[in-house]
Amino acid sequence: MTSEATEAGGARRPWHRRLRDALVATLERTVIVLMLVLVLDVLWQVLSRYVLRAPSSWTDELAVFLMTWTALLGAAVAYARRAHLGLDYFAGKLPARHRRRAALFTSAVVFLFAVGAMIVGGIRIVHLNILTGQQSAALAMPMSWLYLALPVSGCFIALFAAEEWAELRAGTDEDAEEGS
Amino acid sequence: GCTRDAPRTITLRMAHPLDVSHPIHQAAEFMQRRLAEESGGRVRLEIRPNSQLGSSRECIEQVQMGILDLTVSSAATLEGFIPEMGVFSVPYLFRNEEHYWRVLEGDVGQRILEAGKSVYLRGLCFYDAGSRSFYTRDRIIRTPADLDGMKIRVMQSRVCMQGVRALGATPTPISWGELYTALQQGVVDGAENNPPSFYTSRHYEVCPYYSLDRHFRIPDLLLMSPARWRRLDAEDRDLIERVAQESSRFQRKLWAEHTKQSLEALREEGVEIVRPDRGPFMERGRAVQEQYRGTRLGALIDDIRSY
Amino acid sequence: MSADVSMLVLSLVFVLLLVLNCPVAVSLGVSTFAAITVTVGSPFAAVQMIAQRMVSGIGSFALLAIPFFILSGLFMGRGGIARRMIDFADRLVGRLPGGLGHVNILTCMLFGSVSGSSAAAVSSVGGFMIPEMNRKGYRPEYNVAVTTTAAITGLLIPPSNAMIVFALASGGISIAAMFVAGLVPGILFGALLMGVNTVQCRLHGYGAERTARDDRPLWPAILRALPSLLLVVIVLGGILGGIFTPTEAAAVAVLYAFVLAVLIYREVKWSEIPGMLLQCGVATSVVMLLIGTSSAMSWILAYEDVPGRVSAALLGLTSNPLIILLIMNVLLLLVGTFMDMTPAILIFTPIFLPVAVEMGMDPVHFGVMMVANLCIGLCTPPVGTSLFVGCGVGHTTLAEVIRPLLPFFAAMIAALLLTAYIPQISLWLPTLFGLR
Ligand code: NA
Ligand code: NA
Repeated sequence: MTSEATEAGGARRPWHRRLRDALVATLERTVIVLMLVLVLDVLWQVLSRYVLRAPSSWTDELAVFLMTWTALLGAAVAYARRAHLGLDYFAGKLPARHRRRAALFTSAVVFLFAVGAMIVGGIRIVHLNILTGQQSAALAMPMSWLYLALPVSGCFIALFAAEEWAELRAGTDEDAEEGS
Repeated sequence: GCTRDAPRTITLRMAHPLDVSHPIHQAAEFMQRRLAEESGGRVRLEIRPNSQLGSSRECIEQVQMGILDLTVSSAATLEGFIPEMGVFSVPYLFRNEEHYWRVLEGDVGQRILEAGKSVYLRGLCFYDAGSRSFYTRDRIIRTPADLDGMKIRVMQSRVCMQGVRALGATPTPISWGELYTALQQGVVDGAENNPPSFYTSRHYEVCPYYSLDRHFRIPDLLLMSPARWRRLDAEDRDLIERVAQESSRFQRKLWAEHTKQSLEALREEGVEIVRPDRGPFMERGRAVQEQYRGTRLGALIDDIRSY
Repeated sequence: MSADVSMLVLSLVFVLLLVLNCPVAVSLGVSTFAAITVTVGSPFAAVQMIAQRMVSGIGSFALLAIPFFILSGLFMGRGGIARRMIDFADRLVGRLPGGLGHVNILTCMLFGSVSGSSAAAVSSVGGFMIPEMNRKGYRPEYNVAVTTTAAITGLLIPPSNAMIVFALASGGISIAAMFVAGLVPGILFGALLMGVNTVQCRLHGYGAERTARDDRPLWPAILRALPSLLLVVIVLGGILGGIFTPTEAAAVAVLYAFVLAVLIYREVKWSEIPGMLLQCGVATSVVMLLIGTSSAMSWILAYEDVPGRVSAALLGLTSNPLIILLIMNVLLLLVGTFMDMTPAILIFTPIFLPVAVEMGMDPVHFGVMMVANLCIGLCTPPVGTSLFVGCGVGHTTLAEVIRPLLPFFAAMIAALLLTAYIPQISLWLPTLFGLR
């Protein structure tokens, strides 16, 4: 089973690959919309101050909120597209067999990080904020909504890492050779 | 019977967002010295100033998580965690400085310190943060009528916003770090703070008018992690409580000097400082106190007024 | 004691994960998790702590300028701005010996000055310039060497995402001051690179292409480049004049670049915009995730007082600030060969800045020096974004580019030393504008 075969015949892609692609497409659309609203929000802030002469008090807060969600959902997209910065120099020098092992190991590490720090840690922070009923100053928005971006993004990254792991597991050392 | 082990050394970690020259940091260093003296070096206090471990809000969260043992925070920031802290943002609640400290050192003060138990925060003592007054860009404030329609920057606290609105101004929450530019650009017409903060922030460069109406007295609190507290033995708890009280009195003296020096320095910088008649301001402030009648905060307000 | 153990764990886990090609952001997060668990004793507290630092690291209003400068750079790169700047630069320096090399450097500086990152400059300027230079008889690997090194000036010349990241990591230096401080060093880097280009072109006989006098008038080229150059005026003037915050200036830059590229030049189609927004979102997320997890790492470093201890150790080594400065620069150059710029700034600012301040160095000067130093690393193997993009655009290999790169490295090191040891180069302009 070579990667060309799986790419070419769309119907023959395994179910987890199809699920992943659908999730990535949804995330991408969300990031586009969030980015657009982010640009408009800050432009509105300038406009309200200089043209309408009534500086808006909520644009700052909304911008930070949008940015946090954009960055964290975008981080999941970036992971799916392998866009995160890494140091491929040393791993690239390994023979294919060891390189596949290294890749299996790092996708497991990413999975554990997403589950531990982003999902568990994130949920604990969300819980603490719900407990104390923290609200943002201008929009009076529950702070837990801000922190919620972390576990949500963590779920996607964990899924993508698990999918990558399964893919590597099912593949052969030669795939790893081609992939680099 | 049980044999006593070698005395257990204890390291307490404190973080706060203030500069090392701030009276709060000096009070922390005073505590550090006194704890070492009183325990023969057994109880150590490590201090991380300057927001090294995060903003005030984040330090409070770290205390809640039990990662940090101690932090110092303004009651205004704490309002987001402990609703009772909002009481300090009710304008003209305290008649004068004497009344203020009598309340804080009495059983109402104790009640406020203990109000954070359910959210994993234990108050140890109050520190002085003076009284807050208005400073403005274009004209000085002498009567409450001068405030009408003015856009005034306030801290990110709901009660605070309500208080400033009741005094006649339009409250605008802006983060402290961006306030200088906001004043410069005329996003707001003025702000309010105590004299030392007004001086050290250099806001007087854009706001040459300071009107000492002293509407809020919002203390800082020394907070401890209840999880850490429970792990201490009775002797150490006593020691920490005692030293905290000492540091509070030490800090109050420093603060008074600090305030005097700041006001002098502001005058030297050419800031026009007035002491308006507080009567008409207090009248507007009383309206806010009535608004809270029947709420949890209302009961606390009544207790303070009758203290 | 326990601090030493936790720092040892931190370094070992971090290096191991990096070597195995785990994403840097995740390596930072996992090694920090291990260190906090060792220190505090509770893995639950550790994950909660990392979660807090990640969200607070990302959620800063100042950082918002980064996606906006990336997005305006995308509009300018695809919207025909780079081509107009090449025409303009060509009219200015095209007739000097080694002409096209100079045009390349100057365009990189001009284009770098409107976009926030060097990769943008390499791909858009290199995409035009390298084939053109190949055609005129310059060797391809030489052209890649010129472009990749010239592009890094864009990180010194404002606006610059690297300066924003430093301002943030330093905890409270004004972004405006950092922007203005980078201008002169950026021009210095460009000037020294042009010097090397002159010598190299004489040696290899490049650039005899333009002997005849160009009689076309100069003003159409200026006029065509003017709208693009105006962006610098809007961004810098807006920030310095107190009209915009850096974030607002960046958003206005997006609007301006959008109007130029889509409505006036019409070189970007409406249908391309969602793709650009996505590209910007993903590029931003890569930086933000790094900022988030490195903010967790700098938290544990501060908790264990590592900056204080490193500072004491370095200052105990020698009392000569010139030597300490040299040690810091050599360390940063080594770091820069392996590590990308953003993580390097985020990890080493909290460690080295206190030392620099202790020595009496101005934090703004230190920041410019650090960014200049790490810029060099962007063009060095094994890890160098600018170099990778350059080799891709120029269809050469790393091995071929190394030799022609060496004289340019020498020029950059010289520029770095000047920046490090003559504070006025960085501080003259910010002082002039009253920013420090
Ligand atoms: Na730039
Ligand atoms: Na490098």
